[in-house]
Amino acid sequence: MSSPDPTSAEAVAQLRSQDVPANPEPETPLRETAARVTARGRRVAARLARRGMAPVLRRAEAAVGFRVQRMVDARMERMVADALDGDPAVSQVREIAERGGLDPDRARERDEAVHGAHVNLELLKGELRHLQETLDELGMAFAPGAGLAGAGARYAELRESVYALERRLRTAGGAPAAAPVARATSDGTPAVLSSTLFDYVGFERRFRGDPDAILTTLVDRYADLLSDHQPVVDVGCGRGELLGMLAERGIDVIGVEPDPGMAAEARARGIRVHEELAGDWLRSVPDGSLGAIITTHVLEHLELDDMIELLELAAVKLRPDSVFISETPNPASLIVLGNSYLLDPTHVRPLHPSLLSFLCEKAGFRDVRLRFYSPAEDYHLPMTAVDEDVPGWARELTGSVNKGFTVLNEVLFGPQDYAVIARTPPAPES
Amino acid sequence: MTAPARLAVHVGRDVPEGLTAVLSALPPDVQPVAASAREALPEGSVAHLYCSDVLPRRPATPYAVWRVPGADADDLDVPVIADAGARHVRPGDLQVSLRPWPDQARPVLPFTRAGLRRLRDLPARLVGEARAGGVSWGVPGETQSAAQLDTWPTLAALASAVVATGEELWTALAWAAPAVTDAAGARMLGLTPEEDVLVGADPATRSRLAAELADDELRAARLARSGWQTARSHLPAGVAAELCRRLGIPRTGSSASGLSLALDALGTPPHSLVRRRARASTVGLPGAVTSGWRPDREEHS
Repeated sequence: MSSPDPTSAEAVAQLRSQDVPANPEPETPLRETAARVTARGRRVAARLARRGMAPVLRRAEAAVGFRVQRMVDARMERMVADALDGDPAVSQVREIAERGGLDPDRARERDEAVHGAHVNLELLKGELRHLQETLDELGMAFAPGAGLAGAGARYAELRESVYALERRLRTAGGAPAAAPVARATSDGTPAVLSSTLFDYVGFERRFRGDPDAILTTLVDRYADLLSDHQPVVDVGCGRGELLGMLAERGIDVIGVEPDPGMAAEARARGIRVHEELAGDWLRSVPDGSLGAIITTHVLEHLELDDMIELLELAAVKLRPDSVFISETPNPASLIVLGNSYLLDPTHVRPLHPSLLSFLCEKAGFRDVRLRFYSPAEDYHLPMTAVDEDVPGWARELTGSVNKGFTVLNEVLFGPQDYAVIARTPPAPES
Repeated sequence: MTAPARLAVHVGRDVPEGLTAVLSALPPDVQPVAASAREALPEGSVAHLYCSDVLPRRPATPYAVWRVPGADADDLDVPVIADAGARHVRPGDLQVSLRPWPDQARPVLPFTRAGLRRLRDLPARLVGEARAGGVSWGVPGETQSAAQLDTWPTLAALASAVVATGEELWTALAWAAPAVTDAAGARMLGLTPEEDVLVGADPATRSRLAAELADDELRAARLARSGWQTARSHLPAGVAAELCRRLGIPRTGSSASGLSLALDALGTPPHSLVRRRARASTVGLPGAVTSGWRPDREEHS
């Protein structure tokens, strides 16, 4: 129920209805009694007068009010009609209203909502940028060996989260493309993971280990080979860390990364980045124009058909006798399958080394080789050494156990990553 | 169509509550955009608003500063905005109030108040006073009547003068009532004594001041005008409009000509009847004691 207008007769009547003396001034008993008697007399007289006059007033009010109302209505109607008919602007207003475009209240509400959302978004961006600055300063303040165990890694993780948020905000308004989906969808079809909320960058940072160490390892493994086959294309280059290190060695590099935020960061490193899906970009380049293609931990995120198409495109776009390198988790090592592979919810399927070799060969590559890296040696079952003077049966038993352990170590704790290194067929001799 | 002017906003980690309200109340032709010292200035930026905790040594001009508690923003020769509830407010600072504007409140000028009192059969000289738990009203010097606190808007709208503090004072200012308060009440709402309100140290003094005010219609009108304007200027919309003015951000339209603009937009002919009626509706009331005050021209849109 809405309260009456405070200036209305009803509001004033409400004020009067609570008419009781406030803070009565001290008076002599005689004056007080006289005042009370006078007030009561006035009230009684007023009540009697109201009671007597009320029917008369009501009749008069009804009669006069009706006539006045009729006169006012007729006059108002005439005035309004004159005003509306005589003004050409009114017809325009009517026309607009009939088209449904003139609802000022709704328009105002809509404008206010849009404006409010815009302000909140801008303030959120401002907050994030400030956080980025703070984190950068904090990062610089972390001196090596400061004794803060794990602080550096946690800091890096936090920083990545903030930057990922900022990237999402920067692209706000379009589809909320999360980094993992964009990275996984290297060839045009949606990834299996439908979540846009999963913080893939933070996940990687937490579970994939020290990124600097990983990068250094990758460079050690492939830089020499890649330097002989330029330009080098990194499919799903992310923030371009690997390409940046290759470029420092004077290697001509090209990145392909569909995520705008990551592509922007890669460009900031001075790398040439194509911000599109790998399949789209590969189709656009001339056949036999690329020196090498490398993908690290990308293929296991793709659907089978997408992966096959990517491999076939790569085989066509590479020059003769060029290299294709794809590094991926090794599911033949059961500790990998049961841990790191299952840990990542964006993985689509485990790629057995034999399967990937087969697919590469079917795509047109030749000389497909596998290289295995990083056995889980920390878990290896220990071999038992036997002295020369132990009995024969003990030596035999120890050898048997060691042989079993070797097999178990291979199956359970084998190499955690492997790479397929394939070459395109050499050019036919002229 | 011209692009909107952009106000580059540099916020810290915690966004002040009032900042959101003020930015939301910016005129439609002024667009706030987040800015950072590390990135290029957004295109179309004409001024900057820094939170004081991120104010750089050499800020880009023109700029204003939002004073964040605990940060140093004193002695600046630029517009400074004090957040809602800020303890330290310098003269000239823009002060934001997040108190809701009372429902139905509109300025009722002394002339109109007098007419309404006659119409409602109330005393010609009527003083209302808000106290803890209730209100009292009546002719100064005579016995006062008591009423519930929820009738305060009626007294704020119709009394010749009121005595109030806190929320009741805010309500009184919203109805443009000539008001008397204590020093704490004036300070809390950022009011200037003798200009926006009269200030009395004790209840007897305040009642006396209100009685004097009820006799001086011209002074009451000036006080009512100033108090209402100051209260309005503390609303986010008022602060936003003043901020734009002080930063020299160009405005394409103003509330005073809002009706004319709307008629222009509709292509209304210059000598049309509706234009004449619009002009007639905004003409001042003849004989009104308003000191030339035209509240309808001062609304912040």
